[in-house]
Amino acid sequence: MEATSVPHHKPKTGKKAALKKASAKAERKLRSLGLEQVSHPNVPKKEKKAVSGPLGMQRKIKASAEKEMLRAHLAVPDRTGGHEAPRVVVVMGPKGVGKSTIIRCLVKHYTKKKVGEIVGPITVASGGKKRLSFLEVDGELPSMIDAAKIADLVLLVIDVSFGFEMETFEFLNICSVHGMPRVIGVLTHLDKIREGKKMKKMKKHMKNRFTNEITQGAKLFCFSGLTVGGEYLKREVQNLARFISVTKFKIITWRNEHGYILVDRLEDKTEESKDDNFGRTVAFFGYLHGTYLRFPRGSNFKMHLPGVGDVTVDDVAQLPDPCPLPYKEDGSSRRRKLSDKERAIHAPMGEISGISYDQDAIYINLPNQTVRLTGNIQPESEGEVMIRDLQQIKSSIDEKLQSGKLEILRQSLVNENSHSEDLSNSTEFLEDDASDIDSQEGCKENSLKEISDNGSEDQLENDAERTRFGLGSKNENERIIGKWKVAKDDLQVDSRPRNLTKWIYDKRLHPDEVCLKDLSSFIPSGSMETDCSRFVVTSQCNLLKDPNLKKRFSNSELVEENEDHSYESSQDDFTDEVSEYSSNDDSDVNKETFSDLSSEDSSPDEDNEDAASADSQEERIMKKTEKKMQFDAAYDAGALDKMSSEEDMSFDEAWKLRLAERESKRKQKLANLDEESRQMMEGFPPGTYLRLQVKDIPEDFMRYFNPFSPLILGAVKIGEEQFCHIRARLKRHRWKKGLLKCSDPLIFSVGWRRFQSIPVYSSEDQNGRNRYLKYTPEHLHCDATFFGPRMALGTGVICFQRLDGPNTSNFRVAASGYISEVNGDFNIVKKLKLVGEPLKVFKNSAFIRGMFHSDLEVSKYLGAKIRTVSGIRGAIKKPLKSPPGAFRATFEDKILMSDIVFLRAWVKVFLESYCVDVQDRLCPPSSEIRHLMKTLRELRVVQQIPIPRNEDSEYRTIDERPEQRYFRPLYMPPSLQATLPFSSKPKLIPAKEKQRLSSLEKEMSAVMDPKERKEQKMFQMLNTIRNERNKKRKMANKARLEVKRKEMEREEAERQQRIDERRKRRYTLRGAAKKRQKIID
Amino acid sequence: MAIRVYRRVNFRYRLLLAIFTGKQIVFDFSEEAHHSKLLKPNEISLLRLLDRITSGTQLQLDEAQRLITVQPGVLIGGNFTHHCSTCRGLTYYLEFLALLAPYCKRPLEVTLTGVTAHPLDTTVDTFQNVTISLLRKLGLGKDCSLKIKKRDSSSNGLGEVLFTCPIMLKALEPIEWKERQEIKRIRGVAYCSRIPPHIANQLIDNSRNILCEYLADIFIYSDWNPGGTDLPSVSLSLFAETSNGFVLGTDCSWKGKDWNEEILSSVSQEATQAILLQAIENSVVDTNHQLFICLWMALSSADLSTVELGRLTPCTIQLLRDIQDFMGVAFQIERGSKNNFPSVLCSCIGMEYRNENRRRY
Repeated sequence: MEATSVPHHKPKTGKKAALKKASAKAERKLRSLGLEQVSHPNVPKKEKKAVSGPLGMQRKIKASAEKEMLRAHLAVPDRTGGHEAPRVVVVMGPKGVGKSTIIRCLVKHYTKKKVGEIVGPITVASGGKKRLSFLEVDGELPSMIDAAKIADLVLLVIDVSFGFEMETFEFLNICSVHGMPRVIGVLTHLDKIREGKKMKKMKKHMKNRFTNEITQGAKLFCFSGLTVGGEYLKREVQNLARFISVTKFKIITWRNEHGYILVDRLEDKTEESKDDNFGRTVAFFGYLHGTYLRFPRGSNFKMHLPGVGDVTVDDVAQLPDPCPLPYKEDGSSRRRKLSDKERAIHAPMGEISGISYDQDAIYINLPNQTVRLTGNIQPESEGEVMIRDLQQIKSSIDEKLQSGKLEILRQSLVNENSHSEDLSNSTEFLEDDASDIDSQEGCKENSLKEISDNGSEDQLENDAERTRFGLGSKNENERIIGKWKVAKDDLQVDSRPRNLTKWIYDKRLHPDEVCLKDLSSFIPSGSMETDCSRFVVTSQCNLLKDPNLKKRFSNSELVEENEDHSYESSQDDFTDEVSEYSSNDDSDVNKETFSDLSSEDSSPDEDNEDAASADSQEERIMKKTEKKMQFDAAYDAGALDKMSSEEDMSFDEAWKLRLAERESKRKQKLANLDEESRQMMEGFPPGTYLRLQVKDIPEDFMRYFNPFSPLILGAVKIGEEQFCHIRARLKRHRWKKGLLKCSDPLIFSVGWRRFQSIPVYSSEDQNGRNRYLKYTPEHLHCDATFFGPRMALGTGVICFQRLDGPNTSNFRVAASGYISEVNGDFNIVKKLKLVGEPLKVFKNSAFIRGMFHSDLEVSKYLGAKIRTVSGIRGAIKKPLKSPPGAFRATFEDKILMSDIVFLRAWVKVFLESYCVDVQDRLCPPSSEIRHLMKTLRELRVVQQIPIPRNEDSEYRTIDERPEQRYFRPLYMPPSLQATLPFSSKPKLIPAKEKQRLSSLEKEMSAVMDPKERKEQKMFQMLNTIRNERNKKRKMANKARLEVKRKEMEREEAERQQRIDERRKRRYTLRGAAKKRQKIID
Repeated sequence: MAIRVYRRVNFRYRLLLAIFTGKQIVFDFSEEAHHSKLLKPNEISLLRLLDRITSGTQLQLDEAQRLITVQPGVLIGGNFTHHCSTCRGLTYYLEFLALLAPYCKRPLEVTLTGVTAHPLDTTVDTFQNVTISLLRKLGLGKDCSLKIKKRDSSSNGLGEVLFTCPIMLKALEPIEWKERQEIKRIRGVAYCSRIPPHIANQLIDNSRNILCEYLADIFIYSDWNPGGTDLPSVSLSLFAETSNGFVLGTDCSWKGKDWNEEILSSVSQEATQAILLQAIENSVVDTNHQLFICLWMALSSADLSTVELGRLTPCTIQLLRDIQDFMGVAFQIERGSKNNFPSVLCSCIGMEYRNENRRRY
């Protein structure tokens, strides 16, 4: 094909042509002026140079560095134990959007099992070393809050045919406060939109809004429709599963520090005989998530059960994993696909493959047509296996009970774990639970016994104290040593074990006994009673003769070697060594340590340097050469390279390296320990399946248990049981209707807890004063101070006015923020103005009344600053005898009788100590939550009390004006005026003076010459003409406007008439129609 | 959940644990021997001090003063003066403050008046040289200091010290202090009052005579207070510094009516023998500071801390038990590897205690 080159056609008309013409013209003009061409939007720019100027480069570097810094986050040590615990996938959405279907499809995808109703969490093995727990959450606020606290991944289900709903946004808001998990959006009900174009538009809109709400690039899935079986398309489910499997989960600070259990099964373990209303004993089962669960000894510790409150955990036990990870730790299995056997599922609350768990029984449900329970056929489902096991049982439980030793579940578990011995044999001085009076009694007895046992030792301590200066009288010491020998004989088998931990923590042994077991020649001097931790050397001790002692001093070798040499020579070496060490890292500490002493760090005999012998010098040279060789070898091996590269590392990298190092050290140490001591040291690791027995749970909990909302048991960190005043930085949500009122109760969700408290809002002034605010400000943060359990600084806070209540179209999140400070007491102040009026005015002092009620009150305010409205300042001096509450005050100037005097003071606002757990789990579902305070408004509505009206606060017309007051003008004596600088001198001439001057002018007559007179006359005439013309024009204008106004009025009247007629007609027609309708009806 | 403790042991440290964990503690002294059923003056003074540096602390005494309930509040620190009871030395209070100060809301700057050298406690010199160096090692920097303004060991309590300590913003890094090296120098302070000044020199000489055999770099300062006290008193504090920067301190002080040569020699001998005892043990801190280290390890971040200590005293053992009861932190204690030099290796995973009392902006 022939290539024809047609020249580009230049535009001759239109916008472009005009622009080009203009630019060409401008260029020509510039050229004619001898100037360079300036850049024009339409003229192509010159090519950029390869090397831009120094400033440009600087700017570029700065910008990129800033970008990097914005992105940088300091690595956080991961204490969640990797993938051990199942990840919680929360499927959230309002009612009827298709949450259950998604879970069903996903579970079927992972395990090939069908699930009926989604009750409680469902745990499945999703990969070789991964497990997922699915949780369905609807729009109920309490379940949304709890779910947000534990979610690792959120599947936000959105019905496209309906659009976004308020619950979705509320949930996202709650999530962002409690630690934002990963979020994937799922659009359902796409098949309801028939039109292709509309669907496309809708999808785009959804995607836009979704990415705006979460983050750019947030993943959104579209489920195009249902199959005949009522499931989503297999391909789409597979895609979603694939996306879940590659999700990298975030480390969320709260969960990195708190262990928690997502309860998937619970049992009421209360004894039958007990019919107490309060105090059910319930066993909770679930995987441990978050971080390690460690608790103080004595095994009674607190955990938080959201919706109930803090509960005391009675017993903790590790159970075999019901849904084990398919691949073992060693990672020997490298297959890509899981076999059907490995696809484990665990959902004890719901019914899966025929097994359902009840409170105290397990039901096996087998469809008749699928199973045959006779014959030797390989059983298929789990339920079938169980039935077959039952078939093979030869003796009944009763028989077994009679014959064998019964192993109750709990005891066996305790035996498996650690403290059983300690618990049974406890002769403890310390008892954790003061609330349990019985146990205290027992403990007291024990400690009494202990004291009698250890009486001799107490005496021992006292004696030791007394005889401290005599270095222990011989008799005493012999007695002690004798005692120790007896103790030693007792434990001859393992008299000196390597690991002392058991001794130390054995509470049967008194600390002194432990000490004596371990010691030979020393006795403790400071007794525990006096808080002293010291040893004293006894006469038996031959410390000074100990040959090892000399080795503990830095120049001891030299002393031994050069015994015949002079003392000074060793001295010299010593200083050398010091200088060597001073290059160490610790050297600055060394120097500081003695900085308080004088500067004589070096030895007093330093001037004897010359006395150093020749052979010691040789030695030194030898040492140096040796060191040089060592250095060379290291250099060749590249060890130094590595060192330098470590120095080159950025802070972030170095920090990560350090964290990894610490982690490996910890792992190494724990790997060497046996199971018991490992658990003692680090607690239960995340991922273990635990059974927690909790006592004293209100009966209503079991009665109203709702398996559809997530149940959590969160660990309460040490210090979080303490109650104090908390200050949070809070902002009302912009979608919340109305302001939040100070001292109205508000429900807070912080950490695991949800509680109601009374916040006091305040803002900090420039001078650090915390000023009371009546309402939360609009679009601004403010401080809210409330009473509650202590939490770590920076923990997210989200507030609601109600968690229950009717469905509302309003946004339910009231405010959100973070904890900024805790304190025993906060000083929030409110302005107070005390107003008084003069009783009598003297020159600069006056008697003021009406400000206080009594002398006592006045005397509290002696010296306080007061002020009149006009700004005259003063101070309170002394109370008057009568009338009560009046006082003498002095001012900087004379005040008027009509002045109002006021005192501006700040009063501290009282902070209520009110905090109540929101116990929504103790109420029937979707009913009002009990024991919560109502706001003033709600109370008024309930009791039908109108808002009180203060007459004085109402607006009214003012009929009578206040009396007009005349003040004498300010008189400034001329002598004072003369001394003032010009800037302060009065510049305006008073009217009187002006008058005097003008009258003077009048008296003077001006004589004009003829030319001037002529000019004057001319001006006068011209002015007359102008004035006359203006007058005429004004008259004409007036007449014209009058005519126009009349015209307008006429037109308006006509229009109105037309409108009236039309209306009349319309109403008649409508009336007639209505009449007709009535007749028909 | 209150913790109830019986018997008067480790009063200070149990109080400290209660403060750190925010738990209510009940001291039940009803089963004590008759004479010690009541609160001692020093304990009362300590509780007052606690009230000063905290906000919202609730103290409750039953009528017989045998049941003391303490609900600790929030540590606020600040700037104040406190008159300590003369029953115990100033270090009794200072040690208490030193452990709390880094976790206060504001930096602590406190003037304490009382007894600077007391037979039951270490001297302020030891605190200044050993405890402060330990605090600095934790990363508190030079702002942490002790100034001895006036020395006095009489029951008038005219001694005065100024203790300043900044606050810590993060959790303590895991502590790994092991393998102490040999001692490279010894410093010391000998102090006497209402006794001729040459007595201090005599103390120094006595001590030097023993120590010279092992080390050359010894320097002991003397300080003398001519009067103003009711009874003659002497004290000798020795600090040994190892090549890798650990400082061990021991001391001995005496106060009485009649002094004689024998008493002086026993004071110097005891202090010197104690430092030798510290030397032979393979510990990174002296016996008195075992408690400090154990507490810091329990408070440090949730990684492995390992510290080599000497033989554990009953006090330390009791503290370790209390730490487990209050905080749930359990230690692993093994014997050190070097047989000639007795030591134990203590390791634990800390509870990651952060300064939650400070303000966050």
